[in-house]
Amino acid sequence: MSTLAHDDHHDHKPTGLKRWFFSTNHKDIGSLYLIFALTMFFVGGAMAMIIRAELFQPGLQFVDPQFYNSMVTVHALIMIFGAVMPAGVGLANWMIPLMIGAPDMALPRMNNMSFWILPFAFALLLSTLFMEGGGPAGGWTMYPPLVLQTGNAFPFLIFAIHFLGVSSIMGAINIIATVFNMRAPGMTLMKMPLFVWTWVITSFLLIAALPVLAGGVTMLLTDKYFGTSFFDAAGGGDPVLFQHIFWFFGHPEVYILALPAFGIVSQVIPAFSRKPLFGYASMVYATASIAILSFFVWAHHMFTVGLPIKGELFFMYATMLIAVPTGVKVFNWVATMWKGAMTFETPMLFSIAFVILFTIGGFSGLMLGITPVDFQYHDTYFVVAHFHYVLLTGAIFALMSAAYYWLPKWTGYMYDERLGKIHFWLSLISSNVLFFPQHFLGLAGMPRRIPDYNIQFADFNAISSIGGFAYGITQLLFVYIVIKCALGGKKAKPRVWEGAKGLEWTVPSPAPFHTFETPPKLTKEMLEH
Amino acid sequence: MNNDDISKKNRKLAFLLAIFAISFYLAFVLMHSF
Repeated sequence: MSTLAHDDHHDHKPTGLKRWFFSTNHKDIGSLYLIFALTMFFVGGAMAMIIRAELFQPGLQFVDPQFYNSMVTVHALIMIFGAVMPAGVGLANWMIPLMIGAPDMALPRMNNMSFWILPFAFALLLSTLFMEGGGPAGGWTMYPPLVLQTGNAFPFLIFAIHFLGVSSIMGAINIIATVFNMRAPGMTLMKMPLFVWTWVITSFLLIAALPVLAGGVTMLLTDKYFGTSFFDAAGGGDPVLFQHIFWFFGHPEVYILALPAFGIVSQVIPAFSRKPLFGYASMVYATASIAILSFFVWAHHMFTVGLPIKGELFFMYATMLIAVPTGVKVFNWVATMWKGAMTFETPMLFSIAFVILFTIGGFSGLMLGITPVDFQYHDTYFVVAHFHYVLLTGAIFALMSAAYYWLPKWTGYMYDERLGKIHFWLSLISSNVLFFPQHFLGLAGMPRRIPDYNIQFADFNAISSIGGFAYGITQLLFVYIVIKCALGGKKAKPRVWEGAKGLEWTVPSPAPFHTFETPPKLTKEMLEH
Repeated sequence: MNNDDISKKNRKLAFLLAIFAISFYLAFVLMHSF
């Protein structure tokens, strides 16, 4: 494939700190997001190591229960808002303009602001761990009245969440404006790569869901400091109202984390199967269906609070419905691989593992969605196992797949394939050793969010902790692979992967600082993804 | 369409989406206030 010559012109870029602090370049801001997400992945991961160390044996070992609860709470907030979401936005920043033939994001200065809010928000959140009374410890769901017992950390938590929401909404607005207004001529909506589609739909989810979370936490703030009683029964309020508000945001949030992962896998599987994606249009409609349905299932997180039976039935059936478009997607990924000339480089391995393990997480989700059954599983380790299959072996495996897939395009060098495969196999084995036994713990009745447990749960917890430490150490290998790749190695071609189709593979590797300053002329081959 | 027109279009769309998000936020808080 020919490289577009015009991309090599005017490749000047600012230097020093100014380049990063004042950047309006989508590639630089994408890199900032990705580096920030990786850093937060290790901060949140360190908290997970503390949790697993404490749970290695029954009894209290290393930390006091209050600090343990803080670790559980902040680990979740960091991983969701600090690692998975910024990693997805980083990929969107880097790849969407390249994929649709745009010179940059639609609103570059707002893009800079979206990113630079994040370090301040997380400084606020993490500073609470050093305050008197400790960090927030009521769980990431922040249910009142428990969360209102938080000490000085409380306003910091609330403002951090507001900032994160503002950052994400600005990012979402930018993506929508970029995709709707900046596509190269000929790049119609139904010709866009699926990664772009999943991000457009995710952006609408962000804009519709995050204001609801912001509203909920503002009400928490006024309940604590300004004498309101939104969630205080003594003043005529209702604590269950918060749960409704939180999960009206919280369930779409699950798809905010998962849909970009679907998009990544939909790019990687066709490339390594050397076939176009099976059922492109049905993939787009399935993604949109999942997004719409995600606003009608929130109460399946709160079956045990005492909902009317008709409400429980409605939310149970609505939850079952989501399995239909999700099934369409899994079918299409498998059908794409069917009779393809498959090879198994690291991105493909992570994507195949995603399809299998995300589906396991989906099945345990179906189990939890069955109202009468949920009464046994609710707030047990079964739930912890379920959402870690969806988010770790799901979303994070897809993000790893994306990192390996596009790393040569970002750095200009091939990563070490042998080390990549070692990273994959160690991650696959350790994450299953970590989370699979938690299903058994949950079914046997071990509650979540506790630092100590009955002796009968000891063996599975020990196994789970060993898997946890192994997974944590394995991720250091990923950092080594990325740094090694950034510093040098075999030069990457413009089209890094033989079967990869799309506009991003027409520019040189590494992608020049400025690309598509004049809109590219699209050929059939560029749209064959 | 020249660059200025596209910028104008971008800002207009961003403004509309931001207004939507802010009013959704305010509506949610106010709805529960009365």
